[in-house]
Order: sequence, then C-alpha cells, then structure tokens
Amino acid sequence: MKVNADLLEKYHNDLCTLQERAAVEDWLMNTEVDELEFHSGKDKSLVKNEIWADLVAMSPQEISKVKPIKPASYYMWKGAVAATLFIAVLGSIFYYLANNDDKTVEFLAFHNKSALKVNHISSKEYSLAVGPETSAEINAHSGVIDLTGSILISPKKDIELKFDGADSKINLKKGQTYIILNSKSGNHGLIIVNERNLISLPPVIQRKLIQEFDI
Amino acid sequence: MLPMPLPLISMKTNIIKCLSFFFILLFISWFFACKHTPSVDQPKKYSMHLLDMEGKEYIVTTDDLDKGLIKPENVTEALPDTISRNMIVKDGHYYSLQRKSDIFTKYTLKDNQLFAVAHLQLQDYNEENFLWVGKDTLLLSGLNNLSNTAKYYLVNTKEMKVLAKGSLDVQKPQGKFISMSIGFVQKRQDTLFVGYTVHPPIQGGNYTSSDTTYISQLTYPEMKSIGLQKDIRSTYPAGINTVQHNEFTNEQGDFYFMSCPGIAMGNRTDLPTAIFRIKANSSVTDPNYFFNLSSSVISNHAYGLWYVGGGKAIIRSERKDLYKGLSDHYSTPHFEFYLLDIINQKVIKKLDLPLDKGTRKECVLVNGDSVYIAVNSATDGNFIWKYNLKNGKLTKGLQLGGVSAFIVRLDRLLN
Repeated sequence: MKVNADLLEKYHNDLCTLQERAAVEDWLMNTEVDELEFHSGKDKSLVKNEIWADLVAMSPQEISKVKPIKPASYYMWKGAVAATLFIAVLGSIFYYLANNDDKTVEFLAFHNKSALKVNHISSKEYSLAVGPETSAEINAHSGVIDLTGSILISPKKDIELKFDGADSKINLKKGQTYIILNSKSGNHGLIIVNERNLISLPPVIQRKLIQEFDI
Repeated sequence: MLPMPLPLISMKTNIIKCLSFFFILLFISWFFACKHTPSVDQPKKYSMHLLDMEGKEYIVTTDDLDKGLIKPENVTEALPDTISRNMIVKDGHYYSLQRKSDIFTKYTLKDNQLFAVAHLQLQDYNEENFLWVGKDTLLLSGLNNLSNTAKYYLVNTKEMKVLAKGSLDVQKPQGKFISMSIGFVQKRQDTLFVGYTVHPPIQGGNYTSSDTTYISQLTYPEMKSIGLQKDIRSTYPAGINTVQHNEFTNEQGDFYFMSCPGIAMGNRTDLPTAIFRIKANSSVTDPNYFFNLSSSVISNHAYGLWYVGGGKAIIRSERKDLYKGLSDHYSTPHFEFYLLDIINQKVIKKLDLPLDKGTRKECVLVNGDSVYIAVNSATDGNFIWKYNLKNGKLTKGLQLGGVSAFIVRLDRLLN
C-alpha cells in the first residue's frame, strides 16, 4: 500500500483499518522507502509555502523587513528547511507514539530447574539472570508475578512489576540492577534490593547471591 | 657565517610562523592550566559515608559535627561502584576491598574525592573483619569464596605490602554445616581469639546459623590452634566489623562482644542478643557474665555495640513490632539506641532519639565526653546528634541534607 498524506492523516486520527495501520507503521519503521507521495506537485509546494508562511509569521518582524537578494541556493534551503521541519514533526509524532506506552512490561514465565546454573534471559525491556531452582508464573488476569527463588534484573527502561507478596507495584529504574528474592516456605518472604545495596542483606544470603550470580 | 638578508615575502611568512607558534604555545599553556592537578586535601577530623535513595554512595568530611549542613551532591561526586561502605578508615586514609577483583586499595582524599594511592592484589578472599595490630599493621580476616575456610592477610599499610597470609587454623564447617562467618578477631600478646559460627545451606529460602558460638585460640603470628571453646548461650558473635562494630576492649583489658542472632545476621531468633565477656586474665568467655538484652526491657534483637567509656556502652536495637520482615528491615525507621551499664549488666536508659533506619551502620563515635550518633529519621531528617556523657543531654548537631538518605558510616578520619 502506498503511504500518502491522506493515509497519514487517517493514521493520526486513528481511523485506519488494520491493514492501513500496518502499512503506515511499516513505512515509519523502514528507512528505505520512497518519498512520501503528495496528492500532487501543487500540493507539495502549497504545503511548503504554508509552512514557510507560518515560519515567517513566527519569526521576529525585523527579519521580514530585511529583504536580501535571494540567491539560487535560497530556494534550495527553503525546501530543505520545510522538509526538515516536516520530518521533525513526523519524528516527534512517532517518538510520542512509541514512548507513550506505560511502564508495564510483558514478563516471561520461566523455570530454572538446575541446582547450580543460572539462566539468562534478555528481552527488549530488561535482561534477567534466573537463579538456580527458580521459577516465575504470571497470573494472566492480574499480571502478578509469582516468584520462587532468586533473580537479578536490569531494566533497559523504567519498568513496573507487581509481585505476589508485595502490597504495591515495584518501580525498577533503567540502568540499575536489582536482586529479587522470594520464598513461600522460607523465612524471608519477598525481598527487592538494589545490587549496590547487597551489603544490607544478611551475610549468609549475600554470599549465596555472590556465588550464584557471580556478582 | 652570517645569514643572507631575507626578502620581504619571506619575512612576512616568518611573522605568520612566529605568530602561529605563539598562539599554539598560548593554547598549550592554557590547556595545561585547565588540566587541574589536584593536591592531597588536608584531612579533616571526621568522615561520613552516605547513601542516597538510588543506592549511590558519597564520602564527606568535616571538622565540626556540632553544627552546620552538608549536602553531599554539592561538595563531592558519587563513589564508583567498586567502592563500597565496608571500609576501614584511619589516619587520613581509607582502605577498601573490591569484592569482584579482590583488590585491596588504599585511598586518600583529593579535592573531596577518593583517590587511590596503592593497591594490593588479594586472592580468593572475602573480607569479614579487621584489626589494627600496630600503627601501620592491619590484620584482615575473612573467608574464601566458598565461605568454608577462614583466611587472613597481615598488611603493612604504609608500604601496602603483604607481611603474611594464609588460613586461620579454626574448625571447618562439618556435617550439615557448609559455610561459616567470622565474627571477631582479637589479639592479646601472642594469642589470637577468633569468634565464629557455622551455617547449613540455604534451602527453599531458609537461612540460619548453628546454635553455637565458636571461639578458637591461635598462636600469633603462626595462626596455629591451641584451643577451641564452644559457647551455646547464643550464636553469631559480633557480626562484620567493616560494616558495624559489635565488640570492644575496655580500660581494664576485658574484651566484650555481642551475639547477633536476629534476622539481619544469624537468624536464630530463638536465641538472645547478648553481650559476652572474655576477661583480661582469662582465655575463655566468662561463665558468670551474660548480659541478655532480649530478656531485658529492650526485649528485641540488636546489631551494633559501641563502648563510650567509664563502663558504659551504646547498642542499636531493632523494633520487631515496627518492621514486617527482611524486605523492609532497612527502609523502615525502627531502630532505637540504649545506654548500658556494661559492668553491672543493666540498661541505664533509652536515648531520646527519633527512630533510625538502616539495618547495619557504623554510626556511633566517641570524642571525650561527647558521643556523636548519626540518625536517619523519616520525620526529623538526617542529623548527627550529640549525647553528653556528663549531663545526659542530647542535642542536634550537623545536618546531612540534599540527597542524603542514610548515614552508613561515621568515622574518625584523623586523631
């Protein structure tokens, strides 16, 4: 499907069909695409002129008073400015759409049955080291994570997770590493601690984590 | 031979050359002037180790704990990840073991930042305790990576040289016990007392300790065993003194240590937090001395024991009615400070301080008749409080503001 200004407008007004939406998103994601098709060459210059008129209106009056001799390159720059602006606007819309999702993430269910080895999982949103004899199940309804064992999680963006045993959602910050421990039968319950603060844990637990995760 | 007179054009080029040379010189000198070479700071009397809410750490120093306000972000930068709060502070220097690399580093302060002056590569070593056995002689005691062998390094800190190293001849964990914790190392002439306990493996999230405090007597400096005492009155003797002190020697040379069976250390909550004594003329714990804090008016577990002189000590005890578990043990303000009569095994009084937070902290410092206590209160802010031992008055002193969330160390940097 050819992406044109009409389709883009529909997209931003959220009126696209699934197929159209996919086409626009493909076009947005793809770097090697044809130039955006305007309805006609006339439209293109019209849009350019409108943008330029807006620009002039916004800029201080003194500038418009000065009427320099316009060299040939002026027209080239005019087009470039308009194109840059257009791309910038499109880019910000895309950025806005891409970043508008909240901090909730898809958390994977896992089960590491090994008594010694650590499993590593990497997703778009976080990287995870799963400790020995550790499992996590996710309640499909509530999204609450039922963890048994120990994990080391490094979010790639700020995320929120809800664990069974915690009163509220846990905020995990991008670039930090957190140790999360839980045990149903054990005597410590759910513990969430920044790796930097490992030292505040009981020494016996510290040593086990250091050995397991090689941290 | 004299040079020939230069033609005009060549003179012009020469002037340009000279000028550009001059400018390059100017630029270079400006560049070097900007490349600030910091000089070693004149050390201040006191050092504080701070933690912010993101787990970043800062070191700030001062000569005056009685008043003022320090915002760490205004005076220094956060410490690199390689430096942690389990430090040894003495005579203007900081000593810290990098957990991952086993590199033991000596630091000084330059422009309010830690600056490494010397390194020592240690091997398969995790630090538990330290003891100054001389002005520049430091005895480090710890465990191997499997936590089942007690090791030591004797270090000359002036030259940063290892004088001796090896294993401490103490009983290895046996039977169902697979790891150990060294609680204290104390030296008397040519004898070393090593207090420790052992642990079973953590299974299904259960961590715990043996019900016994072991005290080995070793010859010094050979580190060979000449005796072993088992005391079952409580367990986990004295904790980890690079993080928090739980032991002291008084004016008479009697050695006191506190057991730490609470959830933050040994997790044998059925046993009491209690103070033990090894008298100066004895080589075993005094059977007639057992200051049971858990059965006293405090009726809680405690971590942190500091001698303040004149037969008195301060302990930092938890409030089990205020925290939920290990998960909020460090973030909930629930710690209280009590003044104890050590000789007569009596609780003198609870100090009228706001509830403090942070599981284990080195937060009490004695200076003559003044005891400085670092308290992180959720309501009153972060302050160094001053307790006057003469008149029993408590006053608010230096405030730690800005990003400060926990004052995890309060040390004397200079005597």
